[in-house]
Amino acid sequence: MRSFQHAAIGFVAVGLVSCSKPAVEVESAQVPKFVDRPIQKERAAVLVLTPYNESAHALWSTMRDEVADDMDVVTMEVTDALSAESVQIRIESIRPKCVVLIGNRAVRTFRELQANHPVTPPAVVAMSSFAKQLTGDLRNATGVAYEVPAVTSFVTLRQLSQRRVEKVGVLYRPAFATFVGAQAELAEMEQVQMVGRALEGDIGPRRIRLALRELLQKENVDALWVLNDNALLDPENIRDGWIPEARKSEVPIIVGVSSLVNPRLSFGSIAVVPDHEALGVQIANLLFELSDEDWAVEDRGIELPLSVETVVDMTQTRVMQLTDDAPGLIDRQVSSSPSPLYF
Amino acid sequence: MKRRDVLTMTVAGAGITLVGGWRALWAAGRARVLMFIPSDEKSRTIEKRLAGAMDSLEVTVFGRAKDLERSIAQLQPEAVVAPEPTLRDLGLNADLSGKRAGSTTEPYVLITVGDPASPRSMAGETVGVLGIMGHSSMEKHCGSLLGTRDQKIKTVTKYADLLPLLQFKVAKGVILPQRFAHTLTARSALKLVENEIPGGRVGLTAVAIRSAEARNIVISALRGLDDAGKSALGVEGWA
Repeated sequence: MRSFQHAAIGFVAVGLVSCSKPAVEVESAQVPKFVDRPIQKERAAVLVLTPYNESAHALWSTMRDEVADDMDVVTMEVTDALSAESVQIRIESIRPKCVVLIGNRAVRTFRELQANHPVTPPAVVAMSSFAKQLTGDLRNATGVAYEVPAVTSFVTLRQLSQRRVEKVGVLYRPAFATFVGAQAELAEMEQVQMVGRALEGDIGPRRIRLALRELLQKENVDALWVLNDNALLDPENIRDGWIPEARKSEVPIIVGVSSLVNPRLSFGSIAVVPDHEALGVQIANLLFELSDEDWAVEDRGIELPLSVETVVDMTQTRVMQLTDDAPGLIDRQVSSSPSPLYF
Repeated sequence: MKRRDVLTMTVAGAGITLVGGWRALWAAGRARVLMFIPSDEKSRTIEKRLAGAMDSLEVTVFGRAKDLERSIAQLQPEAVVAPEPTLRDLGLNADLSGKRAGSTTEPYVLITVGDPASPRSMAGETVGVLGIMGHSSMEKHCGSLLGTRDQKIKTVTKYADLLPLLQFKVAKGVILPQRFAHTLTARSALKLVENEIPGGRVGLTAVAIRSAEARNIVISALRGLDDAGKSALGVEGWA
């Protein structure tokens, strides 16, 4: 059991690193290739730069279907061989009205391109962690953030659980203070108070345990929200910090990575993660809006993602107190240890 | 990977084999029915419930109108079940119409935050709606529903996703069937106002039969559904 836990936590850590990239950049034999439909030259073309992975494909495929009646989608796969200049050559040949950048690497490539070319088509950023900061460096760009807003996670928990969700605890490093503050503001509108504990300097399992005890025992929070932060969630911190407290916890623990919901870890009660197909619809909506406004980005900010998927540890029924309708609403129910492929 | 992706992928990769398999299904007396049921329930949950109740049909349920549209072209099913406006938009006629409270249409409401709003006041604003047709058809559909002509819209794939549009102030209002309004109001602490849309009624789930041979099998299976099955389709009975 102990050795399984070590292996599992190791996999979790790998998953988190991938997540911070942000997509699970693992090629799968099951992921279909990107196949564009024939171009109809009189229509607006949209160039898409995307990595080849399951999440990106789900987004790309939905977006392409949604805009299919009105726009042509031309896809370039982001590989080691892809350079800013090869993207520029493609732009010159198809003259897209807009470029959709899926993932951080696509954003970096396009930023490089903008550095050498003063005029580029507007960009729409997707599946990029901290897109807001990233697009700050890009000209003429908008997009959809990748991080699921805390308020969405809380409302989702409310929908599935009979428990009160009014006060939620969170641990964070000072570097995340602005992000957590913004989340707290959004949560307030749904009358959820976020109670934070900032952990400065070196973070070890002991400090995590103490901070969690404060939130659970002194603050009596109704749930814990776990930030996707590699430092807080390194294997040692998960094993010796989070898990020992999670096992004693009487409240749901909301995580942002599905691999942390694993009955043998007894950590996350529910993962609330981006719904990539719905993200494709949201990006398509943005393209329609840009098209209506003659492809002017102007002062559009970065939208927050609207749709999520849920993964629930069904062995934590006492903690979760699911409603009767919940099983039909949960995307993935986990009741035994998933195979390591999930990590 | 979701089941529907696998289906689509399989069709793309080995279309002939699958279509051949589906034909064999029909030859064995099981009509193939593709469905699009707007709901917050997972498509697979609805599919499971319906498949268990209708042995004579091979049912596949989609959660997005575009998935249905693509699959009709690829799989050429014997019947299609979807909201009546979706069928119309796909050029299909309703052979059987669902009924609720004695009508084949149901009322839609406009939900806003804070103060009541008239449907016409949404002109020039963005409104959220679950997509049941292609984008331009949806714009016209919503414009006609609200009396605003071409309505600016943002579409979602689940009713629950309409709430974030209001929370994040991306849409001024959202429209949805009255029977789903509680999915927003029950789980939000926002002051949500349910505004009536005068004359704002939309066709319920309907059935288009594409094969004369399958007609009786499909209709009799659907008419024979129990209450749970009909409820999954959003209807109480058939007209």
